[in-house]
Amino acid sequence: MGVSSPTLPKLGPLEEAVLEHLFETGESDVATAHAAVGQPRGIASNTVGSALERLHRKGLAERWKVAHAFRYRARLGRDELTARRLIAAAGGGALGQPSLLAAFVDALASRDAADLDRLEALIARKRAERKP
Amino acid sequence: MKGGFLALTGAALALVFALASAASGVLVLAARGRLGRLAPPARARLLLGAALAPALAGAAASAAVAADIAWSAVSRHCAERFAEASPAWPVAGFAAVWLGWFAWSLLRGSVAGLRAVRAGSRLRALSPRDPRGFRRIASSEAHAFVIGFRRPEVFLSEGLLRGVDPDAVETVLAHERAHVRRRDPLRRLLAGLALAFHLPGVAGALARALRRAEEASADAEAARALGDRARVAEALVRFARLRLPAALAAGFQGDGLEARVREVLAGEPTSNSPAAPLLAALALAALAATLAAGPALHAALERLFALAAR
Repeated sequence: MGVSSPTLPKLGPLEEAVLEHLFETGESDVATAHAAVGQPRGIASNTVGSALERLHRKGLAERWKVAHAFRYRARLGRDELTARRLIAAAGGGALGQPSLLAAFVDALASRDAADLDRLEALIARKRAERKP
Repeated sequence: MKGGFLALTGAALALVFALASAASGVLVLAARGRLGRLAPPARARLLLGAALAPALAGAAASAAVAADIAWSAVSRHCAERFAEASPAWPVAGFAAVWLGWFAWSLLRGSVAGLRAVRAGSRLRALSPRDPRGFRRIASSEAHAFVIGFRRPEVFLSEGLLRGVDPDAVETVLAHERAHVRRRDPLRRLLAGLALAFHLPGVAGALARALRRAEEASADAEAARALGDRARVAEALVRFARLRLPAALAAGFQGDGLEARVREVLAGEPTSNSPAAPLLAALALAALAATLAAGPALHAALERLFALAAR
């Protein structure tokens, strides 16, 4: 119901559990994550590996190779994740319609740096025009 | 009272809402040039009025017909004449679709509103107060917003505080304090509920226009408080730059930033601002005219029922 932030991808239950594992351990490889999260749920190692891969693709985990195997670490803290989720939920975003959160600039105002450069140049021109 | 009569009444009300929504949508579209020349607070008031129009029109028409039924000497009013009637299939379909849309809009709006209240309470609990009069959120992203329907409060994120200089923070605060003073979250809740009575396309367009007018109002108020319009425009662009990585990641192109920058730089229009007493007088006159037209509305409703019934 529209509570996910455009900057915070939706997570499935397994991804949530694996991310929680990363918060607790700091960093982990697939085998350790499988032992902690997969085995108690009767889930195969490959499935846990896919969840870690998805967290990486969604920008929530970073990874690096150590002797042919990836190690993963969360890219943001638990507090940060909670804050982003609460901000998304506080926005409502389902009254159709207006977000309930009166933000300074719409959540994502522009994805074009050139546009912002152009606007800054416009402001500078206006400032110069107003100077006596 | 039979289900057929209720369906006829529902269809008549849906027709009133749809007509009022279409009329307010067409009026706002036709007058968008003039609306753009109004001072932002006046524009926001007019758009809120347009958002409320179908709900008010439905309430006024219902009150007028109910008053006529209660006071008139006519013994066989529509409730009796059409007690056994059932609606034609197209009419029943129209009533069902409208009722479904309305119920869905209200339900998801209420759920989102409740979630927003709960999330707001948790954010308050997790975000310590800053002596400068806002709450600090532990997020590395740039966020600045106001939440709270009863006691609105300003929230700024660590990412914003680290990413801009103290002057820009003061500008952002001036903008957010304008939202607090105007109680914009409460207005948005009210508008959101009222927009449930609108046709889907009109609801979305009005919501976007209303949001832009509210933001422009807060920009204008911040510019007045700081005595520097360009400073507000600069803060908008700096903030958008801080959000750039997230915007790129999401592939999202927001709208309205350039229009806001241009509007705040241009300054507020000094004319064309409709006076609040004039608007109130017009609304009262419209209400009085609707109530006076009770018998005519009642007769029109009966004709409508006659056409709509099988």
